[in-house]
Amino acid sequence: MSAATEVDVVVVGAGVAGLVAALRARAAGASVLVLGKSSGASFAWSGSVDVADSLVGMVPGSAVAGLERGDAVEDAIVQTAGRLPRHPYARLGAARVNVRDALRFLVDAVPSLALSLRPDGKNHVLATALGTVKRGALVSRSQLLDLAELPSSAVVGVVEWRDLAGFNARPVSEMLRFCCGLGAGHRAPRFVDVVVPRVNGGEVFLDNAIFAAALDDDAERLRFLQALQLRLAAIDPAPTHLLMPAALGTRPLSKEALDDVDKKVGRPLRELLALPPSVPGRRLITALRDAATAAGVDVRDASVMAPVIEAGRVVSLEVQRGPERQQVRPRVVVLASGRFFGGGLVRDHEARESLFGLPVVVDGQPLGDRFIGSLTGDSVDGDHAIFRAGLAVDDALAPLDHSQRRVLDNVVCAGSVIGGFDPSRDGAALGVHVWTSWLAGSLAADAAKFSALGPGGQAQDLA
Amino acid sequence: MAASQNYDVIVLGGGVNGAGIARDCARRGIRVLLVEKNDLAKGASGANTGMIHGGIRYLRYDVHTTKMACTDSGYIQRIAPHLLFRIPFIVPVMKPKDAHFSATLADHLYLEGAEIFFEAYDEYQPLKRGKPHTRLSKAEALALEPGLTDDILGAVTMDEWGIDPFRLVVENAIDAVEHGATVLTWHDLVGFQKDNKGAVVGVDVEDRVSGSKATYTAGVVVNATGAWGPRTAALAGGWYQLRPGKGVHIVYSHRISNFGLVMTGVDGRQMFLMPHENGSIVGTTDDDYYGDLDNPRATEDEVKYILQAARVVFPAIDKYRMSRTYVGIRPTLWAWAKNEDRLSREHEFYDHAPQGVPGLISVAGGKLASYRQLAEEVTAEIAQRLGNRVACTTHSAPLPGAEDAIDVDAWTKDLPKRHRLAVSRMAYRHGSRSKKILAVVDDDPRQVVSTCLCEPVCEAELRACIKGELVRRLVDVRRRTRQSMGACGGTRCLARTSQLLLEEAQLTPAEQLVELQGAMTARFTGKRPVFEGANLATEELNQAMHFLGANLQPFFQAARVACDDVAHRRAEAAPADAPVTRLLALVAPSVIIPAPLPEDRR
Ligand SMILES: Cc1cc2nc3c(=O)[nH]c(=O)nc-3n(C[C@H](O)[C@H](O)[C@H](O)COP(=O)(O)OP(=O)(O)OC[C@H]3O[C@@H](n4cnc5c(N)ncnc54)[C@H](O)[C@@H]3O)c2cc1C
Ligand SMILES: Cc1cc2nc3c(=O)[nH]c(=O)nc-3n(C[C@H](O)[C@H](O)[C@H](O)COP(=O)(O)OP(=O)(O)OC[C@H]3O[C@@H](n4cnc5c(N)ncnc54)[C@H](O)[C@@H]3O)c2cc1C
Repeated sequence: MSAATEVDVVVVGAGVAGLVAALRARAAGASVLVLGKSSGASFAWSGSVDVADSLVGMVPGSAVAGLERGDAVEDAIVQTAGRLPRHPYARLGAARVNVRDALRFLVDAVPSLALSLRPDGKNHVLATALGTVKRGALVSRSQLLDLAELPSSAVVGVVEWRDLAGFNARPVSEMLRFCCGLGAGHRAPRFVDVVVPRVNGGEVFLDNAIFAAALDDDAERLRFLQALQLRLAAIDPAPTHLLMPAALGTRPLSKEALDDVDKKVGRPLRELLALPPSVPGRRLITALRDAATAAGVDVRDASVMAPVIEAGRVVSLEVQRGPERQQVRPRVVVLASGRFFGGGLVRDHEARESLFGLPVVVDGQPLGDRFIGSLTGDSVDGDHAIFRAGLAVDDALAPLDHSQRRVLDNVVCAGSVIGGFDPSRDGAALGVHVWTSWLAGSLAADAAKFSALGPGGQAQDLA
Repeated sequence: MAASQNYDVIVLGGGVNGAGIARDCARRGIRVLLVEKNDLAKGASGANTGMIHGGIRYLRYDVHTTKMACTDSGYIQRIAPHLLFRIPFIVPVMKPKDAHFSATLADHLYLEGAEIFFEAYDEYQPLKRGKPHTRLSKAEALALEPGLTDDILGAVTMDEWGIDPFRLVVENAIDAVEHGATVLTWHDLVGFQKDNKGAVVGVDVEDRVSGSKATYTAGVVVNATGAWGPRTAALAGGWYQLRPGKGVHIVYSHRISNFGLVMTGVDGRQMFLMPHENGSIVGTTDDDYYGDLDNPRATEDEVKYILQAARVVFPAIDKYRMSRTYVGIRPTLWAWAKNEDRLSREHEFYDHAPQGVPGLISVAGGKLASYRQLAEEVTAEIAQRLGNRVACTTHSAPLPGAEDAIDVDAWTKDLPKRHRLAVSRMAYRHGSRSKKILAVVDDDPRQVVSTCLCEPVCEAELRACIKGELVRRLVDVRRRTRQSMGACGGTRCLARTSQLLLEEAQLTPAEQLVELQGAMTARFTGKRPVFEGANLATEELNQAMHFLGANLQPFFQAARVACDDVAHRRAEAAPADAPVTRLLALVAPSVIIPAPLPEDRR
C-alpha cells in the first residue's frame, strides 16, 4: 500500500459478510481491498447457515418436535418477511428472490467445505455440541448428519475422547435422546456413548481447536481413528453412525479424506455443530480469504479509523496495522463491521456505529441512550430488542438517518451490521448476512463504476 | 405430610448467621436442622463487600462495633486462614473545595485530621493482625496507584482483610453437617407448628426441587432469615422491625487498582473501590428498601451513582470494563430517623414470648465480620435453654480446609504449568482439602483443565463441589467456586457445568435444561445494568452461542413443560412469608441480653 492508495471498493471487516461482498465486487470487475481484524462473530460460527425456519415463532413449549424440518426454506423466507416487518427479508422484499443465488455463490466460493443444500429445499436437522438439535439450510460435508433422515433402526454413537478435555458423551447422548424424542415417537434413532481410551501419553488437548490441529497430521489422525475403531468393537448395540466434536482437522477434509475416515471406522463419522472456540468458523473464514486472495482481492489484517468525509462522501480512511498508519481513498466503502461482538456497533453512554458514528436503530427507533431495561427481557432466553439493533438501510443498502435520509453517499452496508432482526431468535442468521453482502458487493462495484450509488430504488434491479 | 423428625433446634436461614449458629450448635452436640429457602449465602451474606473489616466506618459514632468486629475478625483469620486475603487501602485526602484562607495551612490541617482518625483505628488493628497506618505524600500515593486523581494532598494507608463470603457460609454449613447437623437448602417454609398454648414447636417445609413436604419439630426455632426476618416471624404471629438497606456493587472482572481506595458519594457516603478475588469491586449504595426481597435489582442509575463517586478519586475507572452488578439487602437494626448510613451494624436477638409466641427467637442485624460472635451468643442462649454445658469451639476449631498445610507446589509438581493458577485458586477455596480433590486427576487428566477461562476453575473442583458441598442446583455451583463470575459471565462455562450436574447429581436432560436456564438468567440479571462496551458484545456472543449455535430456546421451553408436569424445580420461592403490616403489634418482643463472652481467649 503506498501513501493514499486509491481503490474502487474498500471493505471494512473481514468476517463472512466482508469477504463475500469483496468476492462479489471483484467478480463484477472492481478493485477491492478488505481491511479487517481477525475477530468477530464469524469465527464463532457453529457450522450451519440459517436462512429461514418456518417452525420458528410458532412452536410453543410442548409442541416442540425435535426431528421436524418444517417447510421449504424459500417459503420460510416469505413467512419470515410476513412475521417480522423490519426484517431485511421484508424491507428489501424485491431482492428476496435472490437469496438462492447468494447461497449458491457462497457454496461455489468455498468448494473445499462442500456446503450443501437439501435437494427438497428444506432445512437439515443437525445435532449440536450440547446434544440439542437445530435446523439449518447449508452445512459442510464433515458436519452433515441429518438426524431426521436416519431410519429408526439407526444407532448413533457419540464419541468422547479421553484425550480431549471438556466433552463427555453421556450428557450429549442423553440430551439428544430427549430432544429427538420430543414429538417424534418411534422415528427417533438410538444414541449410545463411545468413550475412547487415551491414545496420547502426555498432556490432554485443552479444547477442540487444539485437538483439530493435532488431527491435521495424517499419521496422528490414523492413530486416533484406530483407537476409536478398536473401542467400537465393544459397543453394543453397534453404532451405525458416529458424531464427535468438530475437531476433524483445522482445514476442511476433502471428500476422499472423509471417505477414508469413514472406511477406517467402518461407518460415517461426522462432527457436531460447534461452540466457540469454533473450528468450523475458522475453516469458513480461511476458505473465504483464500478464495478472495486467489480472485485478486487484497485482504489485510488492519483496523480502519478516522474517516474523512466531504460533501456526504467518504473520501479517505486511515488504516492502522501495528504501528503503521496509512491513508486509503475509496470510491465506495462496504461497511461489514458486524454488530456489538464484531465491533461495528458500540453502546457506552450512547449507542452508535463505531466507524462513522452512524445512528443505530432498534425496532424503528433511535437506540441513542435509551434505558437498557426497556431493551432487554427479564430472562436470558427472553425477547431482547437490543440484539435486533443495527443500521437502517435503503434498497441500495445505504445507511439511513432517523428521518430515513441517506447519510453517506458512497457507503454500502453488508452483513450483520444491518439491523432489524435478532439472529439468535428469528431462525435466520448467516443466510441473511450472506445475502445482504452478496447484494452489497454488486451494488458497490456498480457504484464504483458510475461514481455514484444507485437511487435507492429496487435493489433487485441492481443485484 | 411425609416425613417428621425431631431436633433440638431448627435454624431458619442459611446466611452467615444461620450457618454460624448451626455450626456452633452442632459442635456442642445439639441436634440442629438448618432450613434455607434458596441456597446458602443467597441473601446478604453472598452480596456484601466481602470485608472482614474492623468497621472503620463506625469508628466515628460506634466504637463498640469497631472493637467487636476487630476481635472477631481475628478469630475468623484463625479458623479460616485460607479464605482471607489482605487488602491494603489508600485513603486519599482530597483538596478541600472550600478553602478560602491560606491553602497550605488548610492542607496541613486536613492531613493532620485524617491522621488522628487513623491513629484511633490503629489501636484495634492488632486484634485482627492488621498493620498500623502510614502517611503517603502525594507523589508516593500516585506512584503506588497511578489511576488516582492528582487532586489530592496526600493519603493515608489502612489495612483490611477480604474474604470469600460464599465459602465462609458454605464451610460453616459443611462443618455443621460433619458434626451431625442436617442442612436443607431450597426448602420453602410453609408454616410453623404450634402446640395448644401457641408455642412454636416446629416447622412445615416443602422441597422446592422435588415438591415433597415434611414437618420437623424442635424445642427452639431460631429465625435467622436476615432481611426477611420480620416476615418469617409474622408467619408465626411474632413481630419486630428492621430497616432493610439495599446495597449495590459493580464488579470488574480483573484488577483495576493495586489497592483499595476510599471514596465519597455525592451524598457524602463513604464507598470503596477495591481488589476482590481475581477482580475489583466498587460500592456500595445504601438505601432504605421496601421492594421485593426475593428479587432485588440493580438499576443503571445506581451504577451511575457509584461511578460518579469513583471517578472523583480514580478517574481511570472509565477505561475499564464492568462485568456485572450484584445487590444485597442488609438486615439493619431498626432505628427511627437516622440517615441510612449511620444505622448501627450491631446485632440484637428477640424472644417472641411476650407476644404469645414462645419458642421463637429472632436474630436481627449483624455483620459478616462478627457473625461468629453473634452465633456464639445465640447458641449460648439455646444451650442454656436446653441445659447443654459444652463449651464453644468455633473461635479455635478450623473450618473445613483449614485443618492441614496447603502445598500448591507439591500438588502441581507433576502437572503442566498452565494449570497452576486453577489449582492455586482451588487451594484458596478448599484449603488443604484440595489435595483429595486433585487425586482424580491421576486417572483422568482432563479434570485438571479449567472449565472457565476468566475464573480458572478446573473440572475436578466442580465435580467435587457438586458431590460434596451441599449443591442441589446449578446456581449453587457459582457460589462455591466463583465459576461464571468472571468477565464472560458464564458464556463459556455454564452449559458445560450443567452437563457435569447431570452426571454427578443424576439429573434428567429436562432438569439440566431448567437448571441451565435458571443459572443463565441469574447471570443475565446481574449483567444487564452494565450492558455496554465489551460487556454487551460478550452478551451478544452468549446469546449466539446458546440460542443460535445450540438452539436452546425451544428446548428450554419444552424442558420447563416437562418439569412442570411433576411440579418441581421452581425458580421462584413461594411467598410463604406473611405480609408485615407496619406497627400492627403493640407488644414488643423482649430483647435477649447475651451473656458476655470470655475476653482474650486463645
Ligand atoms: C457463537 C455463534 C454461533 C453462531 N451460529 C450460527 C449458526 O448456527 N447459524 C447461522 O446462520 N449463524 C450463526 N452465527 C452467526 C454468524 O456466524 C454471524 O452472524 C456472522 O458470521 C456475522 O458476520 P459478519 O461478517 O456480519 O460479522 P463479523 O463476523 O462480526 O465481522 C465483522 C468484522 O469487522 C471487523 N471490524 C469491525 N470494525 C472494524 C474496523 N473499524 N476496522 C477493521 N475491522 C473492523 C471485526 O473485527 C470483524 O472481523 C453464529 C454466531 C456466533 C457468534
Ligand atoms: C451491600 C452490603 C455490603 C456489606 N458489606 C459487609 C462487609 O464488608 N463486611 C461485613 O462484615 N458485613 C457486611 N455486610 C453485612 C453482612 O453481609 C450481613 O449483615 C450478613 O450477611 C447478614 O447475614 P444473615 O445470615 O443474617 O442474613 P442473610 O445472609 O440475608 O441470610 C438470610 C437467609 O435467610 C433465607 N430465608 C429468607 N426467608 C426464609 C424462610 N422463610 N425460610 C428459610 N430461609 C429463609 C434467605 O434466603 C437468606 O439466605 C454487608 C451487607 C450488604 C447488603
